Parts: sequence; structure tokens; C-alpha cells
Amino acid sequence: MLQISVGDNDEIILSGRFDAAEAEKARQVFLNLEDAKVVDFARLDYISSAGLGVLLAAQKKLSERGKGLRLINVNGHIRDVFHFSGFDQIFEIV
Amino acid sequence: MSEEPLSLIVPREIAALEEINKLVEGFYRKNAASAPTRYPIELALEEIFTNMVRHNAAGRSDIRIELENRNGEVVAKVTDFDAPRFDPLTEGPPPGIERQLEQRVPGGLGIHLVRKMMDHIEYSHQDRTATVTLRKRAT
Repeated sequence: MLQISVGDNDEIILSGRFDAAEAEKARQVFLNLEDAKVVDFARLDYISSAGLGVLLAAQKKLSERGKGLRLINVNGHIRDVFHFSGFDQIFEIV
Repeated sequence: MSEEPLSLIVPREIAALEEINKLVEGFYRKNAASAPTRYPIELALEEIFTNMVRHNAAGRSDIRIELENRNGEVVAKVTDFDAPRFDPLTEGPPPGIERQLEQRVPGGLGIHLVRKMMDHIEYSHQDRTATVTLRKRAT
């Protein structure tokens, strides 16, 4: 299960598993973003290419307005997945 | 220690990932020493399985997932019993990881990640049965 919530500073908090079975739910949220956003990965256990596809689509849409996603607390295997995908070049990861 | 493989037959639909994850969970409960391979194996199974579901939606069989510990090496197999010959390892789209954001497309990324995270991947096809075998050691 993937849970998507909004934190105290208006950041998006992801927790659980961001896989192909959950990607559609996340797509609804991410593709409706109209402004720059911080996404907190601290509680996310897992992401696959399906999850990356949603983030990529959101980043592309936001970049047309000169905005983007800022990803925080990206650790362990998830950081590896971002690196292998070249996503560390197209997202601000702190 | 080698044991009998754990095996699961699932329908050709993305929602079956939940069942596959339960199989993975059960496997790593019994094979705690292999824990470092869990994320890579989980991801590889998802990518190969979802590829089969999406690119062979017309297939009429279910799909089999197997997991085995062979002397410390985790061996995972995904078998589609009704598939045309299509080797995702050599015939899929390039991941384009070097591209700028505007040119990036999601296709090919899954297989690219599997290649990066597995020690060994193999595709075989015979009599409409396609099998992808994945291997990963804990160290």
C-alpha cells in the first residue's frame, strides 16, 4: 500500500510501497500539482520504475512552468534506484 | 542450504503484485541471511512480471513466480506459459538515462534497473513458454 499525505510544511509525505499497483493513485495526486513541491521519502520503503514514471511525468509538467519537485530523505536502495535511473540529474535531491 | 523453491501461480494482472509481495515476504522470513537481496529481487520480480502483463496482455495462461535459495544465491524465475518470443533484455527500448528531462520517457527503465541490480539475468523461450531467471547473491 502507498499512503500519500500532506505534512505541516505543505510537503508531500510518501509512505509504504510505490509500485505498479499503486502508481495510478499517485498519478492523480502528482499530475494535479501546479507549484513546486517538497516530497519526503523518509517513510517510503520501496519504489519501482512505475513510481519513477509518475515522478518523471510530474517533473516534466512542472518544468514547463519553471517549477520542480524537491526530494528529501531519499535513502538506501531508493537512492540507488534514483542514481541508476539518472534521476539524480533531473530532480533536486537533498 | 538449498531448499525446495517457493512457487506461486498468479493471474495476468497488475493487482497480483500484492500476492507476489506476500511470497517474497514469506521467502525472506525463512532466508534472513539473504535480506540484502530483498529490494533488488522484489524490484526485479515486479519489473519482469509487469512487463509480461503489459506486453503480452493477450496471453491466455497464468504466470508462475518461483523463489529459491541455492547455497546463498537467491534465484527467482518468472514464467509465462503463453508468450510469443520477445526478449525484453535485448529487444526492449533503451532507457535513455543520459537524456535531459524534456526528452526523458519512462520506457525501458524497468529492465535497465533489473540489469543494474541483478548479478545475472537470462531469458529463454520454447514452445510459447517464456522464462526470465534472475540471480542475486547477498554479498
